[in-house]
Amino acid sequence: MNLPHYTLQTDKTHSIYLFESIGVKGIIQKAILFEPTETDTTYNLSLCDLNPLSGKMDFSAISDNGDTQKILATIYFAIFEFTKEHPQSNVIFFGNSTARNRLYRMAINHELKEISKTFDILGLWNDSWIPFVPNKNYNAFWISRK
Amino acid sequence: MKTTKPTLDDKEWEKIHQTLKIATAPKLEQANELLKKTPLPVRKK
Repeated sequence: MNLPHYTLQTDKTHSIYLFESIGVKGIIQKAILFEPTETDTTYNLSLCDLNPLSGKMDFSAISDNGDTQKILATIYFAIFEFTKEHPQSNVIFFGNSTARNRLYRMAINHELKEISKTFDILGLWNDSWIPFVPNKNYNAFWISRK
Repeated sequence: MKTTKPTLDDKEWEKIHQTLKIATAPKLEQANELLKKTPLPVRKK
């Protein structure tokens, strides 16, 4: 896959990825964190904005910087890199709103053929994890290397 | 893969990690609740 994405900077554990979103509102520092959940080998992905004034991270921020597709592609590449370094791991992620989950779903739809070559994807729908198919509104997503 | 080598030192990464952990704690809790309520299917190897 050759999607335009931002350059990532990662720590030695490959669990934090930093990048700069460059768009209509300027440069926004973003961070992706993979944290172990209480479920074996499952990591939770969070995307945060770094507030330059407070120095604090805000994971609920919608920066609206006009580069959504590039950010989503960057998240994909972070998952790619993380699961390459941690091959037994799988990743769960979900937005903090229905709209955000719909955005994630559309991003997966858009590149489903390519993503499916490397990953299995499940969606949480009606209290069940089911194989991802386009046009269903999921509450969460699970992704794992094949 | 456009992954650059770390340019921050270990101390700086640790600081970022701690800040991130605090910011994302509610979301991690949500993820744990979600997985408890609806466990993932067992993977066939």
